[in-house]
Amino acid sequence: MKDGKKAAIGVGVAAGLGALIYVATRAKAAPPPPPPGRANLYGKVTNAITGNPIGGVLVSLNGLKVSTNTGGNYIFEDLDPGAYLLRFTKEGYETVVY
Amino acid sequence: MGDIVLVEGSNQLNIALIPIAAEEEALIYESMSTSTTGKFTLGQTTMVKVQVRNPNDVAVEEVVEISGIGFSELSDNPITITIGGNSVNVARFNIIYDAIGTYTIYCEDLSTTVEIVQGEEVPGLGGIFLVGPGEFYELRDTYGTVYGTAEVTPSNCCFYGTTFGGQTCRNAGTFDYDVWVGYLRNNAAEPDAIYSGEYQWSQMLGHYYNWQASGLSLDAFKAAHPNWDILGGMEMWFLSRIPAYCPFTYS
Repeated sequence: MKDGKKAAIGVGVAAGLGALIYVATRAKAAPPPPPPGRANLYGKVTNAITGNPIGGVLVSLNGLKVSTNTGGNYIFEDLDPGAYLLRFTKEGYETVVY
Repeated sequence: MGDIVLVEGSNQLNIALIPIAAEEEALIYESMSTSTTGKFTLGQTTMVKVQVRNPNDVAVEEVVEISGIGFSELSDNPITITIGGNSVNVARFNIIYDAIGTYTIYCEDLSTTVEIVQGEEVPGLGGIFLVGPGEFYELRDTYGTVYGTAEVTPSNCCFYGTTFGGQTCRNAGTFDYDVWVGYLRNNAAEPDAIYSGEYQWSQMLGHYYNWQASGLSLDAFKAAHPNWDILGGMEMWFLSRIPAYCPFTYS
């Protein structure tokens, strides 16, 4: 991170798409930082009602696809900084697109 | 071009997904049946069963109601039943057929058609009569059993084929017997009257329906109408015992 503290999400978030989003002020168990000039994206997906992590959520970032593990965690690594389309889909939940 | 911008370094985005509420599926009314089949005898009691399936995972309460004509309910209608998740339950209604004809009983999208006919048993002379005096009525069966509190005597009881007060009890309608109603109490000048069985039957049912619609218990009804004590009790008895004793069945 540039300032070493805060995650910098340029969120042109069209909030209210059925998801609750929050940006951690301090990364916990953060993955190793990417090489200089590169970016990564990671986070955790939880159930908005119960707060429990959701595994098997398909997370798509400009066509790159990963699934959350049983702890609800996902990560994209070695990315170019810049704008992306991000989508979270899981049967039984409202799909969220940024 | 997207809506999030990743900067150099680590970017974190936690998100909470909102679950989609599962839609409750409609209950399925699977079947309706009667405890016996075929033709029914007037005054016969039977049980109507309605089976309902709950396709949902959670138990639900359902109000089940039957409708139609040609019968009266002897038990609650509607009935509230609890149906467990992904299971069935049966609502049971006790009814009595009270009119000759072909009728349909309905429940939601289900229906069953019944044919109600006259009973085959024809009693001997005597039968059951409604007798006076006054607003009090009594019932006496073929065997001489008196139901009610007022004594029935030859002077105020009329048998089929005999005469009383210059009139002959007759079979004027589809009842095998007509019903003789004694003179009114406190009005000795009131001429004796012979009513058709159909008329008296309709009167009886009318009283019963009124009582039933009042929502009162029988005790409360009696308390409110002390002069109707015997009548109220008789009506209940009448409807409940007719299947076994009624000789003036429709023809």
